[in-house]
Amino acid sequence: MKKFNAYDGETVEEEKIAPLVEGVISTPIGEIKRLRTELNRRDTLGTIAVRIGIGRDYYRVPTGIYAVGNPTEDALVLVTANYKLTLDHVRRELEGLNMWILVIDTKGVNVWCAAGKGTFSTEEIIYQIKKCQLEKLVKHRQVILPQLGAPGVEAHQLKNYTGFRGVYGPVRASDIRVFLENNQVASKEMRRVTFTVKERLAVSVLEVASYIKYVSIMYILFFLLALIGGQKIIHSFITAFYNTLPYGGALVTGAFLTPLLLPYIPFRMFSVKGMVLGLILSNVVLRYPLVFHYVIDWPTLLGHGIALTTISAYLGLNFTGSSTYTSYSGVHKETIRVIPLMVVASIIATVLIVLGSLF
Amino acid sequence: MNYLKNVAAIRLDQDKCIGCGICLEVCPHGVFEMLQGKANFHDKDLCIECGACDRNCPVKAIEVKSGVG
Repeated sequence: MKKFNAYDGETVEEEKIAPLVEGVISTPIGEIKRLRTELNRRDTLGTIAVRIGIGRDYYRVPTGIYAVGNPTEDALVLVTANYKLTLDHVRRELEGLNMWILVIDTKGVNVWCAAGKGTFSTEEIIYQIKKCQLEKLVKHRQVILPQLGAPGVEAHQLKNYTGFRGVYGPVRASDIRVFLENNQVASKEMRRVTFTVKERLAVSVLEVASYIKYVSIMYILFFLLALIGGQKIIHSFITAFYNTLPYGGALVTGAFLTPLLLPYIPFRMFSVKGMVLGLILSNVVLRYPLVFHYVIDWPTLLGHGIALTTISAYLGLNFTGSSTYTSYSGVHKETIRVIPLMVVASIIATVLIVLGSLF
Repeated sequence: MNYLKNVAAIRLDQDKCIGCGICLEVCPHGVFEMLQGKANFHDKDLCIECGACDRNCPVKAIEVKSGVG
């Protein structure tokens, strides 16, 4: 059931927000919802669902001020994005603390991406501070901003417009507690973005999931090719299945193994890293062409080798968009260099495979 | 982990720098260091052009051509 929401005037599904809330706190500016600090099974299931693309919309949390614990007029204020997964990350780290959380409108997008796109912005923070009457809620004049919001925020401007000073907290919510205990000083490690195996694994699994549909397109193409090549329908189904297997392999090498082994594969360009693994895959596949029902002649096999390597390289290049250490200028340079080569390679591969299968 | 060398579109004007250190604070990759009271490049190749330093520098001593993301 959709209801009009008083927090930000947006229509949100109140009943889906309710599980995050445990009671309200009375303050001079009215009742404020108190957030739970423990995640339950419902949160976990929801996270899995939203990661694979289900229910993305309800992951927009209503903006405004929330409480954690029993905050007073002296309690600190944390600013965060209105993406539920972001809010989950923050609230689960605050158990036993008494704080205010100011959720600003980032259109349901995480802090770093929203800062890059300009929705986690100085203007939006100023707007929410004023709208939530923060100056009546707390005595101090300071808000703690997530460090990754910095690309979108001019902290020094906040004070000019609201009287509130913006202080940058750590990158990760899990460091908030230590940051607070340490008189709001973040260590070097807390200020650095990482790209650990775990983080690479998390994004690459999602990448693979998003590409699976293309493997089924490959299957259809191989099916048609077998059919046109004169095979019976039932045989074409089977041939196409085995033909497609190595392409599933190319998806795995390019979108999963390349990200996973990123620091261990030589070369700086992501496409070249993907190509290296693609070459290894091609080598294995072309050693056993009969297993994959490939026509045994050199044009077909060469075509498959080029295609598999190119796909793996392309997926490697695509991963620059998910990495935390690539720059726009760098990706631009790499793309301009390698895309023409990939186009040429794809055309050659297609011609070789089609000709090899038909003649 | 390092990406391509000598491509980062970032400029630092040390004459303008007042040594407040906010760039060291907001940079997620440790591009800057403090040298004799002024910001200095520790490793320019680590820059991902997020633009955090550019936005938060109160004297506009840093310029980044930042992309989206």
